[in-house]
Amino acid sequence: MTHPANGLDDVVHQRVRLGILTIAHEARRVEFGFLRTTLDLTVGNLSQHLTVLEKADLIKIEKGYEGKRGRTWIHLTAAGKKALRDEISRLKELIRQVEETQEEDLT
Amino acid sequence: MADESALSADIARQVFSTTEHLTRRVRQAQRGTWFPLALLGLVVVAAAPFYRLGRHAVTCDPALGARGGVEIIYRGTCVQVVGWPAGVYWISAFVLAYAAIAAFYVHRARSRGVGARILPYVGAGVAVGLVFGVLSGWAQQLNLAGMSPSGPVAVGLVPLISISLALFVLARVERSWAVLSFAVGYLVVTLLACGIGTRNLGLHIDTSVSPTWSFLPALAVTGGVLLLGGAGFALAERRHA
Repeated sequence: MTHPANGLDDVVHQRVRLGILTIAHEARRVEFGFLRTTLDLTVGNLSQHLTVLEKADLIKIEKGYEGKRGRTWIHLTAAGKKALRDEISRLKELIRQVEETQEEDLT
Repeated sequence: MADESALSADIARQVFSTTEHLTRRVRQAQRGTWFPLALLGLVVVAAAPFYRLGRHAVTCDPALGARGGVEIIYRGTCVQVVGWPAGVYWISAFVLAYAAIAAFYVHRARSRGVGARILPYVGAGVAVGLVFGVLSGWAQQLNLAGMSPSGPVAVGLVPLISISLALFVLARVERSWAVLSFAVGYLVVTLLACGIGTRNLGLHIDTSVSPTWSFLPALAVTGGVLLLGGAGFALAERRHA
């Protein structure tokens, strides 16, 4: 049986990218500025992570205007929702396995 | 190997704690419970003139009992109750109020940079509000007045129950235990205001209000609870901001 840690997707598992996917999932759509302040990132750093996620087809980036102000909205794709769900279940499985092993060691 | 596994489990726990924190931040940004509560509180209080419009003191013989459209006989006064003015008010007020609530949530979500999840609440509020508004305004024509356990007059107050039912959807949408607790409490208040369950609880409040204004205590209490709830949620949201 493979260890659950081996099944973790590096694109999703990275701390900031997992944060982006979590926020986008909860908010349905999220604006670039909200992500930047919530995750405490620079514009360049957040853009890099968004590019990685967009290339992996996990998010969709939509640019538009509200009045004269440019706004960038991020949506989670169906693949992004599945990737986040899989990541969470693998992490839960990882914790469960370690706790079971620790209980066996104690008995 | 065991140490590595324990370490990765610790990291996984940290990841969960971070995702939970982020989820809370998003929910806080999306919440705006104070607005629907305050607005609907005002809508309830503003209904009073429309209830009064549908009540006329008429000449009758109290000894003969209620008949010929006379619904209330109180201390020798007979009052004829017509439901449609309040019914028309509730239908129009619910549509306008829930449209304003939707606009508020969408504007707030946009300005904060997150999506709004308000459609289920607004949809449920309008749908239940319209049904209960029609029931209250035209209960006699629909032959439903006799079906109410609290008597035909209290049927006119059932739109208040629709507000509390829609609040359960808002609690689900905002995933808030506080809103759910408020919805349960408000449902109890509205049921009692409509006279449902008051007999079982042995409650009989004689407010000595003239029968043409006898609806006023129910509107004042239910509207007041919504306004107080709105103020409470506004303070709580301000504290978390």
